[in-house]
Amino acid sequence: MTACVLNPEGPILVPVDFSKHSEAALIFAMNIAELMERQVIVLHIVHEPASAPGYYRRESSDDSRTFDAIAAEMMEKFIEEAKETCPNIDFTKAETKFLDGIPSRRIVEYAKKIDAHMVVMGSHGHRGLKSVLIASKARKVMQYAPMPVTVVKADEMVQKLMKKEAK
Amino acid sequence: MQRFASKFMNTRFMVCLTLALLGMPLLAEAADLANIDIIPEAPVGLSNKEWMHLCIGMFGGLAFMLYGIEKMGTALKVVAGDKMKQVMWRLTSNRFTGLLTGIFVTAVVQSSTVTTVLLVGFISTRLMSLAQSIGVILGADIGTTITAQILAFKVSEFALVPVCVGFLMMFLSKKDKFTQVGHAVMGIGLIFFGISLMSQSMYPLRTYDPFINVMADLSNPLYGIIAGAVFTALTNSSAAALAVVIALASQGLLTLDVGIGLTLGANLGTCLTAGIVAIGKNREAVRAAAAHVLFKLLGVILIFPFIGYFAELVTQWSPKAPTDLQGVEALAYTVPRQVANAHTFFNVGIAMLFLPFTTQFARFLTWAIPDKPLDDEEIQPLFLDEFLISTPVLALQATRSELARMGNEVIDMYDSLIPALFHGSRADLKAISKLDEDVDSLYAHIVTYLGKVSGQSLTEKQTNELLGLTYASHHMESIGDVIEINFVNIGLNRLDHAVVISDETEKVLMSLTEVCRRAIKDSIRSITELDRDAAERVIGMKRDFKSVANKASKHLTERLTASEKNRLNTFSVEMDVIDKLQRIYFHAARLSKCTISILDSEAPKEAALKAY
Repeated sequence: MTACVLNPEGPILVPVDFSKHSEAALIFAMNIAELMERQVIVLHIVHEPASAPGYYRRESSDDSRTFDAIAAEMMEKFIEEAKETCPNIDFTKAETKFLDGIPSRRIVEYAKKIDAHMVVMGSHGHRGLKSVLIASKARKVMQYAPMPVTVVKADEMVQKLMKKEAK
Repeated sequence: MQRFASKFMNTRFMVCLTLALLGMPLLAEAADLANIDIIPEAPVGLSNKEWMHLCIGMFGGLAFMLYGIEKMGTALKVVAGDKMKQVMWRLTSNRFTGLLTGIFVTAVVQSSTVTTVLLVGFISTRLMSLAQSIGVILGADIGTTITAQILAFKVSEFALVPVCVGFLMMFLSKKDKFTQVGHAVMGIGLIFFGISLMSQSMYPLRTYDPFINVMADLSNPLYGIIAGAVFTALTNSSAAALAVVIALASQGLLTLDVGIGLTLGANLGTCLTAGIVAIGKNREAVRAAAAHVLFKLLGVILIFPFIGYFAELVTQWSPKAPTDLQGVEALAYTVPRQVANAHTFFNVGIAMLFLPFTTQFARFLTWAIPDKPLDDEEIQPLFLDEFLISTPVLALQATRSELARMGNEVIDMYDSLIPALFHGSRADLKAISKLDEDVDSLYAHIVTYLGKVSGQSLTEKQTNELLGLTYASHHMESIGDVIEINFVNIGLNRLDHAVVISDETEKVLMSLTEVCRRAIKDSIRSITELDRDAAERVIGMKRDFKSVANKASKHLTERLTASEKNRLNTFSVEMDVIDKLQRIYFHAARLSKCTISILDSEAPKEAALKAY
C-alpha cells in the first residue's frame, strides 16, 4: 500500500458531479497540474442517488440515450463551462473517465488502480447537523484513500462562479 | 385461407385446442365404454368419466388461461412497447409518480412479472436507475391485483365474446397494429374461457371428501403460502395462481383463510422470475430484483401473525352473501371477491408502508449487495438483454446501443492505427490486431442476438430494421477486419522492407485518412441514432473521396520517377494504403445505406433489399 502513497509521477484525479463545487475543484487541479507537470483525469461516477431518481433522464430530451451517453454529454458541457470561467487554462489536456458504482468507493478504488498522485475534489461544505445527515463523498474519500486528498471548499470561489453565471 | 391457416398454425394454440376440445370428451367416452379404470384408485363418489372430465377440464382450462396470458402479454408488448418504455423512463423522477407508473404499466401488460423483469432489463442496460425503479416495483404489485379484481366478477359467462371480437379483428384487419390488438383481446377472452372451464370442471369436487380434507389442511396459512408460492413460480404468473384460487372459490371450495394463504404465497412466488432474470446482470439490476423480493417477503412476515385480523378486515370491506344463501353457496358467492380484495389490500398496504422509506431501502440494498471490484475482463455486451428479445421494439433499440459501442471500438482502432501505420513498431501494430478481438466479440454477440429476435413475431418495419442492423453490423465488423488484417499487414510490410514514407506523401495520405475517418464516424452515427443526414453525408462524400484518392494516387505515380532507393516497395506500400482506405469507405457507405433503408421502411421490401 505504501507504493500508492505519493506516487511522484502519478496523475491528479478529479472526481466531479458537474456542480459548481466540482468546477472549482477542476480549475484548482488544472492549475496545480500545470505547475507540477502532471496529467489530470476527470472522473465521473455514473450513479443515481436514491434521493434523486431521474437525475440523468432529466438532462436529456432523447429517451433512447443511456445514462453513460447522457453523462458524457454533461461532462462536455461541464468542461465547456469551466473553459468559459477560465479561458486561459487548456482543458483539452484533461482526460475524462466514466465508471459506474457507488461514488465514494469507486473513486478510492480507481485512484488506487491508476496510482494517482493525489485526489482533488469539491465539497458542498455542509456544516452542523446537515453534514451529519448528508453523507459527504469527500469525507469518505479522505477516510479511505491512501494518497493525499485535497478538498476544495472554495465557497467564495463557487459564489464567484455563480455570480458570473448570473451575469 | 392461407392467411387464416398461417395465423392459427401456432403449435401451442393447437396443443391447447386438441387437448381441451377433442381429448377431453373422447378419452372419457372411451374409458367409460371400455370400462377400464384409467385411474387405478378411482375415488369414491366420482366416476371415471367425471374424474376424466375434472382432470382434463382443469388442465385444459389452465392451458387456455396461461396461453391467453402469454398471447395477450406478447401482443400488448408489440403494440405498447414504445409507449411503455417512455412512460417508465420519463415518469419515474419521484417515488409517487413511479408508483402510479408501476400501476399503469402493469395494468396494461397484466403482469407484475413483466414489469419487474423489464425494469431489471432497463437497469442493466443503464437506461434506468435503482432509485427510479423502487416506486415502480411497488406500483406493479398494486397493478397486478387489478387482474384478480376483474376475474372475481363473473365475467367468464361472457368469455367467448372477446374471443370472437379478437378473432374478427385479427382476421379482417390489414393493419399490423390492429391485428395485434386483436391478439390481445382474444388473449383476454381465452383467459376468461380457461377460468370458466376450470371452474365448471371443479364442480364435482364440492362433494369429494379427500379434496375437502386437503383444503382443510391448507387452512394452516403456512401450507397455503408454500402451495401458492410453488404454483406461481411454476406458472410464472401470480395472476394465474389467483385465477385458480378464484375458480376454486367460485365453486365454494375455499374458505377465506385458505384463500389468503394461497394469495400471500402467490405474492412471494411472483418475485422468482425477476430474481432469476437478474442473475449475472450488473449490481444495480440485482438490487432492483432484490427490492422486489424484500418488499413481498417483509410484507408476508409482517402480516403472518395477524392473518385472522386481516381476514376480518377483508370480510368487512367485501360484499356480504344474501341471507337466503347458506354453506357452500354462500362461500361461492362471497369468497372470490374477498380473495381479490385480500390480494389488493395486501399490496396497497405494502406500498403505503414502504413508500416513505424507499431511500433507506435503496441504501440498505446498496450496502447488502456491494459493487463488483474494478477489472478489465474480456468485453461483454452491455445492452443485449435476453429478456428484451420478446419485446422486439426494445431488443432492436438495445442492438443499436450495442452497435454504438462496437462503433466506438472501431473508431478507437482506426485512431490508433493511423500513427502506427506510418511510424509504429511491430508491437504497436500487434496491439491493434488485439483491439479487433473486442470488435469481433461484440459482432458475434450482436448477430446471435438478432438471430434470436428474428424468431419473434415482428412487424414489417421491425423486420426491415432487423435486416438493416444485421447488415450494418457486418459492414462495421468488416471495417475492423480491414484494419486488423490489411492495414496491419501493410504496416508490417513497411517494416520488413524498411520503407520510409516521405513527409510530403504522408501529408497527402493523411488528408485521405481524415476523410475516411469522417465517413466511418458519420456512418456509425447514422445507424446508431438513425440519423438520415449523417447517412446522406457519407454517401454524398463519394465524389470527394474519389477525387482525394485520385489526387493521392497521382502524387504517388509522379514520385515513382524520383530516383530513390527502395522506390518500388515504397510505392507498393503507399498504393496499398489508398486501396484499403477505399475499401473502408466502401463499407462505411454500405453501412449508411442500411440506415437509409431502415428509415425508408415504408417502401416495398424488395426495394429496401436492393439497397444492400
